[in-house]
Amino acid sequence: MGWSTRHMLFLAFNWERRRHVQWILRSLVYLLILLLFSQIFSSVHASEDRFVYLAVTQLVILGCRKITFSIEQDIQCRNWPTLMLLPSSYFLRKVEEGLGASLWSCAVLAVAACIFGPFCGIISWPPAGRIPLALLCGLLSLIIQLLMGFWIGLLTFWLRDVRNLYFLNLSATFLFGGLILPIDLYPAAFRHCCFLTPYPWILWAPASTIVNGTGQLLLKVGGALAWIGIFCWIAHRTMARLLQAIQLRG
Amino acid sequence: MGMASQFRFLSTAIRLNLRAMVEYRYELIGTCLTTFFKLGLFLATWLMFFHEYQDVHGWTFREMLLLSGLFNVSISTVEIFCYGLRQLPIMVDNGQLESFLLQPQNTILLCAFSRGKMANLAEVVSGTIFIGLSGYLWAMPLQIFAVIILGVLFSFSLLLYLACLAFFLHGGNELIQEIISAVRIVASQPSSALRGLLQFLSLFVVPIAFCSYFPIEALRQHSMGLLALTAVGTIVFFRFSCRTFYYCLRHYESGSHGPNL
Repeated sequence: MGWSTRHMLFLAFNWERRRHVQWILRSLVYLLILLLFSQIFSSVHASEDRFVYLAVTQLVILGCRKITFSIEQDIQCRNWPTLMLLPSSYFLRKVEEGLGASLWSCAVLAVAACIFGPFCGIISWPPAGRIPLALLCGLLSLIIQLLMGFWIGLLTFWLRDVRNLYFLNLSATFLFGGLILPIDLYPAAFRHCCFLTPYPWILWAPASTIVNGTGQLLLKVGGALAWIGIFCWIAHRTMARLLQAIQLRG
Repeated sequence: MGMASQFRFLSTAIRLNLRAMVEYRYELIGTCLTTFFKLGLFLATWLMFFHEYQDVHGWTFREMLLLSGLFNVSISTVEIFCYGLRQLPIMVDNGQLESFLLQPQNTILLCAFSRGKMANLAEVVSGTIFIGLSGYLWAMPLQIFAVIILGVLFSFSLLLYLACLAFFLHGGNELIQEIISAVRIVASQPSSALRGLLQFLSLFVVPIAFCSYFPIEALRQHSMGLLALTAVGTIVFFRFSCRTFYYCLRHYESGSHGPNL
């Protein structure tokens, strides 16, 4: 790994830290969504666990950096030197850049949730013993999202506009990952279908670790690692095809 | 400029936009399909919620379908013909408004109709299907038609109102687009549960209650009073947005440096 990729994570983290307006606004949006759902959940007399679950799923979704659009821009502007000529891998650079920025965003949102959570209805916090595993699941979730985002971004070369595909993927994440309700509450047949997709490892794994504890450790961590492997392979194959197509077509 | 010439200008702008947009028809079909799935998945998420909890302050999945349908039809109709409103922050940021300011036509209409996005047709069709599925379309078609017209006017005003932020936030296009997304997220949730601060924000700061809470409640309760309130609120917000735009225009900095003498 070259110098630039090794340090990209820290550079992106610091760069995101300096974008005050963006992260303040994102925190406000996050708190507004939490307030909105706290009112919705209290009107249906849902338990506090449901709300804590939603706070974690929203954090994971809002905190993750949308690298798809920066890749889309690189391809649409035919910024081939960035893709091909730099000594470090474009794939590693983009994923690390996204991860660095996402880590800062998630940290800020988590702090916002801790400070303002009581105003939104979070009274009791989960035991501290659950947090390390939840952090690990959260990290794996961010990596899966970034890998999916990277792959969708690369598709710009063939599809011209990937915005709809990006939002389709986001909607699929909401449903199959269990954004509002944990997928444990879905009908059994549909729940099994959800576990055939990567989405439960994006939302359900970190949120249910916080709410329900550290059970199903192998499923949560092993499944996420398997999906990371699959997406790394898909992204590498797509990247190789893209570079081949650029060399052929120019 | 008279009403007749304004109307002629509008119809020409719409025709030109439609012609330009159907040029990429296969891409359009692909976009329509992905949009159907995208909105379907979003609503399926809410279906799971209403499967667990039957209603939110009287709103069931039917009202959620209606809300989602109305909101998508309204905002997408505006984006199909008036995508210029979404581009307005970039134009203000780059100092490119002169070409519109120097024309004899209405500046807001010129900016709004300068671009179109036909791909949003899929959202209009999906939205109409959702309204149909909610059962309200067949029960009260006239009221639905009125609410859609008001929703289109509201969405136009909302995009114009939020775009005005660009006059004060230099390089803030990304931020404004994020605010628009956030407003869209909040507006498409069941607003019957809102109270306190959120109720205040949705009535007086970004008055999304006039395109979510009031029209849905008007249809649900068969209340002509609430429908009239929706109409008055929408028209007042439209006038307010136009005035805000012209007020903010005083802060506009041109990108042109004039002739190099």
